[in-house]
Amino acid sequence: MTTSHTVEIDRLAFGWPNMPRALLDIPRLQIETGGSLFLRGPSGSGKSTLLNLLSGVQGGYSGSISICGERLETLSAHRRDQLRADHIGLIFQQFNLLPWLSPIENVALACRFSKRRREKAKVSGGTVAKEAERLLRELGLGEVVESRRRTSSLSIGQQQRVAAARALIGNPELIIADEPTSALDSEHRDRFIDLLMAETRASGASLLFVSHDASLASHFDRTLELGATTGNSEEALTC
Amino acid sequence: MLIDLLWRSLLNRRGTVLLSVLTIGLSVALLTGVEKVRQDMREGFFNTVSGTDLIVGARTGQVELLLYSVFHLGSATNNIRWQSYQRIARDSAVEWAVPLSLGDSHKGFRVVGTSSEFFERYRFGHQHQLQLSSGRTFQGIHEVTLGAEVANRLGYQVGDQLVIAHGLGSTSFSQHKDQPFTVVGILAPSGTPVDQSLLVSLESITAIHVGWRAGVPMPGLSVDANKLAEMELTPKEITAVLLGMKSKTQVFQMQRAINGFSGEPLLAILPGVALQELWQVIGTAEKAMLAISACVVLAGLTGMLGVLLTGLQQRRRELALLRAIGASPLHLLSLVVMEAMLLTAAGIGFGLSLLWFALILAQTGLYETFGLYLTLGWPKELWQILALVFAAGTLVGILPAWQAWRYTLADGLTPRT
Repeated sequence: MTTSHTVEIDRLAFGWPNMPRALLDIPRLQIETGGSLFLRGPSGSGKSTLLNLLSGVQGGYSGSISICGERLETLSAHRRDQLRADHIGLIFQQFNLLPWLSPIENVALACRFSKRRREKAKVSGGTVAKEAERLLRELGLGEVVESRRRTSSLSIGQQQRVAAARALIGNPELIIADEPTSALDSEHRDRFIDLLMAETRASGASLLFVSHDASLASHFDRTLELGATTGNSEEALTC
Repeated sequence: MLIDLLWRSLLNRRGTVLLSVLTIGLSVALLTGVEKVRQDMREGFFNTVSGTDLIVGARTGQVELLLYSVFHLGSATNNIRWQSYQRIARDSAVEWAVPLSLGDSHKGFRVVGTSSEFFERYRFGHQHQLQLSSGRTFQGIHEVTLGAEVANRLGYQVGDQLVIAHGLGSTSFSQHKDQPFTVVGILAPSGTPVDQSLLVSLESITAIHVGWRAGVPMPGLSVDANKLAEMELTPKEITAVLLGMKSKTQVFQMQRAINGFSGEPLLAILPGVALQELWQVIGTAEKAMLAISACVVLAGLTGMLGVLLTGLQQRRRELALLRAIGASPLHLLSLVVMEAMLLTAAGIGFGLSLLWFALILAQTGLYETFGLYLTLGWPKELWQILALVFAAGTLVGILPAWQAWRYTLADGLTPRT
């Protein structure tokens, strides 16, 4: 295995014990460093399960998943948690933030479980808090920083940008965004994706973007369709 | 490293959190308070007659003798002859002997005839002596020194006059009306039966019974004060004797000698042994008190469990989020257990300050109402009690923590709420 691929999947199959057919069956998938992949599929197609597998919170699959050269199936649960903290930034559809922490504290939260990202954030911004502030400004939230807005008073679009800053802080190699724009209107949606793409590219990270909305596919290098019936993607996907 | 996160999260939920701290605090205050009362009651009880080596009375059961001589409960069936008392008091091994003569009362409070040495020899608690809060000890006849509660309840002050009733009923018809007593002093509270006693000299007891036969005044036999002063007022009989020995090693020898006394049937008891026997009868109450307060703590902890479990449902997203940024299930489990520990610790702190505050406030009130004398101090074995409560609180936290563990494993990155 080379480390030039952030994500490498080899003959991955996963199914629930009481289901006759495998939920996921991916012969081969690679996301190279700095690349972006659009993962599309209707609900029930196994998107969430794939994200759980990739981020190491779920095991019990056959085949192999590598994140930054580390094969997840060879790692203990604890090491997988550490790997996620160090190398993966996650953005969700909603409830990304702890409402009782300030926006800056929410961003800095990602460095709490990872020494690696803490050190990187300090190199880049001086302190974790300053780096968090810098990222918020870059994502167009200067006003939020200056007026010390409370997290609970932010609009959904602003909250998603704070979540993006948290995913980006400390330069993790992989950003996983799970339907981050489904609560946004189309104008905000496009602006958010452009910002996210730009920041991800600037940090040199790979991006895995999950959505059911096929119209977004044009933003990304490659697209992977997960069909409800699975047995998907015969072709080897290399992004 | 999660402790500040936990703190912020708790602040965010301060309403319910405060409520559960309050509940635990109250139950801890109650538990430690009951324990404190129990210990002080026991301490007070066992030290009602500290410093006295032997109590001597007419032959009866040892608990009976203890009850009527020290606690002024019930009455003696027989008395001791004055000659017997003198023989015992003059024994070379005896350091001091204080005679007690019981049988009269004043408005329900017992009158104790004794020598003035009583004030010097009677000890309670850790060798505390009786203290006067005003006036002086009795000297002549018709002088009385009042126990604190007697003075307090009946509103007597130094200089007041009172009449002693013959016998023990509070509504006795036979009053020693012809010989009123003057209050010369009032004792400070001691938490012992002395508080409920009127102390007079043996001579006074003899004097008020001059002219009485078989418990009733004989017509024409009453005497005036001038005549009394010339009379020989040494009593013929007393009720009991408190003895102090020169050396502790002679206590058992003396006890044997008195129990085999040739002049009349006598009984000498060791106060500690008799108190122990009595405590076995009344001591079950303290166990009941302890059991009840333990139940209160259980109720407090159950309340906390409720707060933790309902809180957990609201925090499911918070936990999933922490998991996504790299927290292991163990992190989240420890977060919830830590919360239980923090709440218990805060509850304990609150409970202890409540106890101290209550002690200061209730000290005099409890004494005046119930004769319960509380010292200002923590109960003994406080640390063991608190450690037990803390351990129980932590244990209670394990249930929601286990629930959190299950949530995180089931939810993965996205909570299903």
